[in-house]
Amino acid sequence: MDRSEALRLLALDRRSVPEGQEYTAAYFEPADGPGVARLFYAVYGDGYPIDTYYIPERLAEENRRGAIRSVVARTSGGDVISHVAFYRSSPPNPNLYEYGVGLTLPSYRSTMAFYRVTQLLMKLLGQDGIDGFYGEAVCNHIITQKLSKQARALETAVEPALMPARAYETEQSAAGRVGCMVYFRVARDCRRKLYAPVLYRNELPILMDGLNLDRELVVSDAAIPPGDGEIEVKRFDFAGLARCTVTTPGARLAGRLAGLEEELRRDDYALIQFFVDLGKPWSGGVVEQLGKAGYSLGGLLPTWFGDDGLLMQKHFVDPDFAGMKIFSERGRGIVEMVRKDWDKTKVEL
Amino acid sequence: MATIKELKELMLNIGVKNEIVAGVDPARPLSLQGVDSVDCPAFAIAVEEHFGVKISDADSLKLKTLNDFANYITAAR
Repeated sequence: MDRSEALRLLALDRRSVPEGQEYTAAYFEPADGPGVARLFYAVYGDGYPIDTYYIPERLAEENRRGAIRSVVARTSGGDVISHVAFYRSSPPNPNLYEYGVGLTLPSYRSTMAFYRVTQLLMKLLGQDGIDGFYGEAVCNHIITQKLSKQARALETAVEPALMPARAYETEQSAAGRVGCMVYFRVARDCRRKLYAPVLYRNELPILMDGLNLDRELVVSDAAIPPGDGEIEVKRFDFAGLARCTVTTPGARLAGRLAGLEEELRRDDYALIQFFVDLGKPWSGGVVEQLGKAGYSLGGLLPTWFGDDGLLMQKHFVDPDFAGMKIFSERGRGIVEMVRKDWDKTKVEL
Repeated sequence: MATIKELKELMLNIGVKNEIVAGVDPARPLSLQGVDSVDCPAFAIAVEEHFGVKISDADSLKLKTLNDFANYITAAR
């Protein structure tokens, strides 16, 4: 079944979920697939961007192979009234999952269903290859930031102007581009070397504070090895966002960065992000090159590569830092850190 | 019996702000003292996990003050 067929069947399904049913939180079973699809359709209509949640057999398969770990609130009648998940997304580290796709049927939002499924989901942390999770909480309101805090995750990075407001149309609360706060919680880890770029050696301890990471901080090499250098680029056309990683450093990196920027500006992109592997001795050289090319700090991404990552970003739109709604003192501190570096980089260019 | 101090610590653990927790009067409804609808269910679950009691959805709606929670825990144990 493909997306259009799944949506056609959902549109024909006239059943409604009776209100006030008893429910239990449970790990996903294949029989929950149709209920999850109905839940997504009830909340998002046909507008949710990821096909998997509309296609029961695909969601069952993704859960079977561990790419998604769904938890549902299931009524005695078999209806699914709430869902949340850990799922593999952007990180190269397969044991670092994203936390999200949380939603509840409107008629059950006054119950504890969403908190029950989250409570059960968090029991997976540290087991079954789920060593940690991260989440991106929007900053046009503070609710998802609060929920991230309740999941005992800590702020480590900020992504100003990450997504176009139209991505949040169902929430009716966004204008322009919406920024996100990045949260991490790492439950299983080992001692690792962290090559700290000179540019951000003062910021890293602040970003790591409270995360209980065992790190040997080493000053990284500012030199870049000879060679062409390679950049892996993932384009998100709908968001005007490119997410990039330097897979091989090289002396021609500066030229490659300029070429990439030219291409993305031509395509009317708003933001380029670079994920720098701080487990590599040459990470300092890459960060220096990115800084010279106008990239500024986004924050720390613990265990992103297995080793930690550093987020750097370059905006082609001016982020509305003052308009970001930030829940915590720590979050406000990181926004200020990121804003200062953005200001500094802008002046230097 | 659960102490108000323990309950306030749980509120801090789920991210309720220090200034709100410090000012909470145990006899007044939490919802009138800056604890919102995102905090309340999370607090009920934190109480369940910490004190080993079960709070149903229906019961959670009746627990409005910290004193209510303290009494509920005592009765449930």
